[in-house]
Amino acid sequence: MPLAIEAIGLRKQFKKVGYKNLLPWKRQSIPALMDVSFEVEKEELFGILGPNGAGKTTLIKILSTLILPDSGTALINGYDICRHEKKIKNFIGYITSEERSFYWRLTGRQNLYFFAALYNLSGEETKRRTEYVIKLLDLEKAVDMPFMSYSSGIKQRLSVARGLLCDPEILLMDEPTRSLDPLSKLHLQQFIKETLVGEQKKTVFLATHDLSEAEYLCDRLAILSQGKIIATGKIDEIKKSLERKKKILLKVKTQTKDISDKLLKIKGVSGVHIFSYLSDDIATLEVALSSEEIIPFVLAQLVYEKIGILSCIPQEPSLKEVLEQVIGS
Amino acid sequence: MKQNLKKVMAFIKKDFQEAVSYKLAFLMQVAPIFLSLAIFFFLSKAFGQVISKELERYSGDFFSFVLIGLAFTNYYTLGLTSFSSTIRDAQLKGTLEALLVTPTSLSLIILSSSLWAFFFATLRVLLYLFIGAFFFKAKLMSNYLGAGLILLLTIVAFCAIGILSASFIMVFKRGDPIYWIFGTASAIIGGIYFPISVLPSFLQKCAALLPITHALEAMRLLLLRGYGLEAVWPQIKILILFTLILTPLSMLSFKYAVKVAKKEGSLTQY
Repeated sequence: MPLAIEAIGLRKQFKKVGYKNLLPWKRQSIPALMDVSFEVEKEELFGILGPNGAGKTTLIKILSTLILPDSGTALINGYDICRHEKKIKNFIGYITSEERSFYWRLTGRQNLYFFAALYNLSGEETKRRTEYVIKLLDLEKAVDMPFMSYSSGIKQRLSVARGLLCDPEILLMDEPTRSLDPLSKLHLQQFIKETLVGEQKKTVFLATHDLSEAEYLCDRLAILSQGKIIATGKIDEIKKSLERKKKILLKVKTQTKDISDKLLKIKGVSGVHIFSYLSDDIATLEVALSSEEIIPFVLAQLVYEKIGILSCIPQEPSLKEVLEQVIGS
Repeated sequence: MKQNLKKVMAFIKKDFQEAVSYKLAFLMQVAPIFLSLAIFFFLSKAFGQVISKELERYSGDFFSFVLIGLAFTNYYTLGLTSFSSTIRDAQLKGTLEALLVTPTSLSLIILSSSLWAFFFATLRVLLYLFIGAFFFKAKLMSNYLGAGLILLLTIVAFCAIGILSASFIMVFKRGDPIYWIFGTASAIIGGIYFPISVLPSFLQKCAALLPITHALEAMRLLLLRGYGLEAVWPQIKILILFTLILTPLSMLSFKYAVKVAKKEGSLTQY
């Protein structure tokens, strides 16, 4: 069985804009994607996570056949994006947060009917699918009003409804929850995870810069930074592979107030943060270490200082902390 | 084929729905038509006799001569601009991306998006002819079948130039030399406002390279003199030749332009 999506060494660069670029010998390019490769299984919710300008939209546009790569290729359901554009368009639904992609003077229903015809749906299928997606996305009240009167949340739901019209196997979503309020965002995220992937068994490829969204939604992730994939895998695997600093949480019994200074003298300890004094002589400390191998040295130092160790718990860094370390550096 | 026809109908329906959402738009088209015809009617009364010799070939009436020129210029302007403006409009509105991810070819999207404009232009042409004949007593003959054939050939030739022009818009976004060359030249020497026989001979030779010159000549002979198709056979042959050369050229250039735009990632940029 072919993979839902397979990217193989995708490269793309764009010409710089400016008066200097008018001269052929001074032309410069900005790399947008560099050797991007990954695989997405069928019925998987795969996220592409990265800051603004990382290349997420370029990647999604390449997968939806709107942009041709400079080199490399991608296969959608086994079909090459450079050679089988027409076939691929039958498998994919493209969902963007771009509100301008609708006809503002038409109603939601008129927009859906128009796009249904472009997706080759017959008259009966158009009615059936349109009514189905309207109900699925709870658009009954708004669908006969002009698009221009919609709130951002309804516009976004209509965009998802349009992406689902042709019942595609694969959904390419470019920041679908951008500009939504927290509650609408949560509803849409639940819909994607529970209904689209959980019940309808669709493959979702989701580009986002929202860490909590990626952590909540995605089965697997690829982290994209400056056009390069720096890690791919399940969130725990990514954390492990990218984690550069370890943290331990220590509960100690001590009368000494300068415990931080003593621990910071150990090679490999990069920070000590005293969380709280639970009582006069019990404190909780968070100690940042360059690696796990430093832990025995820390414990030995505490023993040497005659400080009672009540507990020592290694801390799991959040995805945000890991990415701040990696992308920030 | 059936699916494509359904898509074409969907575009026409969508454009109609958009058009009727602007309540006054059509009504406001009538006033300028009436005014421009009135200006040429009085110009004809004042100066029509000055070029009466050159007008003998077309029944001698300057107002009827200009009426045909003005009315059918609608098609010529539309053929030249509709495809490029369709692309630019969809780029500006932001709908092009959503259209392009559907299993619909770009050529079908652009052709279908222009159909409503051609339908609207036909209404304008009929309005021109009706106002001209009813209010200003222009003398029109009823060789409508012949006029329809010439119109069809003319639209195809103009559209081919329009698609060439759209290729430039696709790649360069603004600054289209095809429209500049054909549009300007046709307006000046294409015989819209005066017979080309008043031009110096070298400009007459240049005018012969423009499809509008032959289209208007044939249209005037059919509608002002009531000639049969055999009388305009030379113009028909020339229009067919234009169509045969320009249509494949425009298709090839458009295909190439789309490829360049996709490569540059600028398909939906403006």
